[in-house]
Amino acid sequence: MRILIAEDDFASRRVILKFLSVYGECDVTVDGMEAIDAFQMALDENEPYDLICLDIMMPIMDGYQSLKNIREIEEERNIPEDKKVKVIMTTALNEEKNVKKAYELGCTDYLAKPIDMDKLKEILVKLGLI
Amino acid sequence: MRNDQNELYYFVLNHVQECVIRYDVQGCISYCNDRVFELTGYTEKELIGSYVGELFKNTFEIIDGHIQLVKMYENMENIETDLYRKNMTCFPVEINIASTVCSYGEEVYVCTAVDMTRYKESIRKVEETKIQMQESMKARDAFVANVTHELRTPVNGIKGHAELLMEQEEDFQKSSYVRMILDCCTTMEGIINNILDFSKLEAGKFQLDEKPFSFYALMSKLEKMFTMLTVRKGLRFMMNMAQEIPDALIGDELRLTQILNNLVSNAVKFTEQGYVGVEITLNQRIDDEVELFIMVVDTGIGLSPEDKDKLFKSFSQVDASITRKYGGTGLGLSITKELVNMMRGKVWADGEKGKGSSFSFTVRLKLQDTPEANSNDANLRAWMTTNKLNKIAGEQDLMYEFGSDINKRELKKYFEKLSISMDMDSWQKAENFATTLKQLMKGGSKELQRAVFKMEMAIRKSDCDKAKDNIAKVKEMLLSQLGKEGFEI
Repeated sequence: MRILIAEDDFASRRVILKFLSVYGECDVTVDGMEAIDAFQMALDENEPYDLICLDIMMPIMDGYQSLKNIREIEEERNIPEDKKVKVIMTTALNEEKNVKKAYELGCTDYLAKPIDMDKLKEILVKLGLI
Repeated sequence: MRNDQNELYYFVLNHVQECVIRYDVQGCISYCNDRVFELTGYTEKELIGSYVGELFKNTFEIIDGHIQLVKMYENMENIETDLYRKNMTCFPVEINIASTVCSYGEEVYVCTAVDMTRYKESIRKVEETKIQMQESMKARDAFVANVTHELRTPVNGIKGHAELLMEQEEDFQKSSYVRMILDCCTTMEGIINNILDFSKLEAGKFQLDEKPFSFYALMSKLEKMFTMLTVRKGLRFMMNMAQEIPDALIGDELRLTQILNNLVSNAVKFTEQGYVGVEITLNQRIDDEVELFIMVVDTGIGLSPEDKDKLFKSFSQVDASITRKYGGTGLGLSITKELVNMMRGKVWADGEKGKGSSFSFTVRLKLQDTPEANSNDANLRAWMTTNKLNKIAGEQDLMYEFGSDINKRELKKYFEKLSISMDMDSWQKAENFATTLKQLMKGGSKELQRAVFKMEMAIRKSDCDKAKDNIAKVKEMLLSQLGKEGFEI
């Protein structure tokens, strides 16, 4: 499995990277713009990501915008529904309106910080990734 | 014709907002308009011939058979009193009294009264709201102070035990995790302190602790601290000070440190490469005071005009937009501003988007009143840096010009730094160097940029072998693009 992590905080990045490395090959980006670049690069090289863990509050471009762009790129390239990347929002913003907005933009699941690793594992199982 | 006129006058009189009452020199009522009956519940029969003081109690008195306002109301333009109803309840009114002498020689008075009930009610409501607001502000301040104190306790516990672990842990990997915990604790402590300071400043409970101190000793201490801070991120640090500044001053050393620390850490945060500089000059000397001018400059992301307006407002960084443009709580600069104000100074920001920024402030400090204090000890100033800040300004642009000599020099330097930090397993530093390298190669081909991005990602994963592979690829591409002549990496 190929995983992309977008997270600007060094410490949080470390933790989630350590956890997910067990399940697949991880790449790490630190802002929303980079996440899109990495996503596109992976598509170009025919090695698309299976999972993206996307933070919302990030510099340069936030997670919402990034998610929107990712879904748009998928539309443009006519990627079938079942091949679309699974996106889990990993963020400290846990208010209802934030969660709603993320789902409207097309996220697959939502995980509030501090991240409970058991829950993350549950989601991975639920999504059929592990 | 006359009767028509009279009828019209009475019609108007009976339909005005005010109560109109006419009485004679003894206070005996001879006329009331309908409004009076409406509001008081009396009938015409009951009122005509009775004493006006029955309607407005404690307002009139009769002295020598002549009606007068009581002393309290004398010479007042707007008289606020109460109008009593038949059932002895009353309501607030504002009255106005006019007197005239009739054609037949008798003196008559006309009193008009406006019902103030609703006005009074709204005033009361405004005051109530004001009190409620003050109370909730007080409650908020108390809450914030309380919560921040409570937050400190667990952080203290985490930090203390992490430190204990750190001493015992010999495994490098594990101790690097513990160091991460300690770093996070320090960040948390900083945020808590900021919130606490902010709530104190807001409540006006903040006081400076002014004591004699050695300015140069403080500055050399700060220079060391800031050098550490900047070098950790691979930046240069410079400090320049005017020699005329006296050493023995009186002021709040801790808060002066806080101001400078805020500004310098900000500069470091927003600067990926180049330098951060502090320049201190003596603005003026008035009697027993000096005014210092301190400027913190950087070669970072700079400021847009809109940013400049928002900067010093509290919480301005956690505004409506979710994008974390600046990170942090957004309290640092507003605290800085308040502290500078307390030191009777001003703070302002300058800069252009992408061309670095400068934050300047002035503070006034008292001179110590001792003979030694005023002597000029040259030794004290010996540590001063000889670098001039402006000498290096302008290099920034050239650094980013892909393929320029300076760009090549910087590339070489940062590749070296990167490989050293990788060898030493300090990955956070390595990440910073990789980011700088990415910026230095922004002008390169698309393939190169992709390779650099891959290199950066490998470094973020602390994947040493993959990172080394990627670095080698990037170097190879660089050499083929920029030519091998005089360029060794």
